[in-house]
Amino acid sequence: MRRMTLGELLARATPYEHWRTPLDANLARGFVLSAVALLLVAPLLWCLPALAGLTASWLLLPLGWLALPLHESLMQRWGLLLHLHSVGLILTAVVLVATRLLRAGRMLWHGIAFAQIILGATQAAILLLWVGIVLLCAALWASIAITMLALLGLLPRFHLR
Amino acid sequence: MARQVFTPHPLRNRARTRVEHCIEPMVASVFPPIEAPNLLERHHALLSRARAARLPVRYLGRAPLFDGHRVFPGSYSDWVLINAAADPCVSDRDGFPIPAAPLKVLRRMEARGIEFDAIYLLHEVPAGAVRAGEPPAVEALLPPPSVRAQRHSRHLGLASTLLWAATLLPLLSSTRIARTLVNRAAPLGASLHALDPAVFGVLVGQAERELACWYYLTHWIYNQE
Repeated sequence: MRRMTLGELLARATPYEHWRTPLDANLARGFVLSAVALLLVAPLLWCLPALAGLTASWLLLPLGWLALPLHESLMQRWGLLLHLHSVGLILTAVVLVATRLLRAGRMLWHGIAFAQIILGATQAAILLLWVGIVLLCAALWASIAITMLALLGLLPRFHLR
Repeated sequence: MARQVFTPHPLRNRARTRVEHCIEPMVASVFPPIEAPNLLERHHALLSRARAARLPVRYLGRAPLFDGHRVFPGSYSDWVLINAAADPCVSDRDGFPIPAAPLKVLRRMEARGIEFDAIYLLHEVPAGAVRAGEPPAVEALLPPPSVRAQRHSRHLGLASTLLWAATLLPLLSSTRIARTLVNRAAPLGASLHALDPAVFGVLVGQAERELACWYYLTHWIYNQE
């Protein structure tokens, strides 16, 4: 007959308060959003040095005062950003496995999932800032072009009946 | 030399907990004295150590060891007494969950050198969930998730929603953010019922057929805050 001693039982024991718990729906949603953000940020981060030309180009001229310092500050921390991005991706994979695809896990994994969300949200903020600057500049250039065309009388005229 | 004979203190003279009420049928009719000198010596040493350390070890009586599990029907729920070595909860991949307070008591016992030959666990299960002849399903024995842990997870979820709302503020309309925040009140699910497990230690004599000495070590109620 198999027997288990108190020491063996305690070796397998875990505090109930830290035991397996289903992930909160908002936490799981934030985790998925963060994972998507980390994947979307990856090409931007790897191409950051190549974006120097774009930053100095005429496209970002209207917001150059914002784009140039942002690019410089990102380039100074490029190594750290890449490192944090890799950590975020590794945490994503580990949490997915440990929580059985975000079903349930020990409290430790809930905390790690939140850490991944912080990383993902931070990187998403950088991405959104870049995309926002480019879109804003594009919109500014488009409005300038439309104004010029209107001034030159080159816009097609629509006659209403 | 006169043989020492130990007579256990009957449970019926004391205020009984639910667990004691359940285990009484198992041990109350089996109170033969401990005759084996080796077992008697270990028994006295164990109780004196427990008394010195003010640990809640109580002698219940003598009963034979068994492999697997036994089911004791109760008034509202059944009780499953199972050998810890055969308990599927103990081999759970996330560990056997014990609340912090009784876990501390058990660790103190181990630190004081109080050791048993075997450990048995008593689980409270819904009536009819486990049958005597069939192996118990792990789902019937596992406790519900901790309410405190669920609350902690819900707070993390709320913080995550706020973080994302702040990050995506330019992209989200205020209605959308409000709708997301309202979702924070996640249901607790079927976690409000509490189970009532207990841990027993067993001392075994040298002879195989000899009755073992059973001791109550601790018990707890899950989700009791």
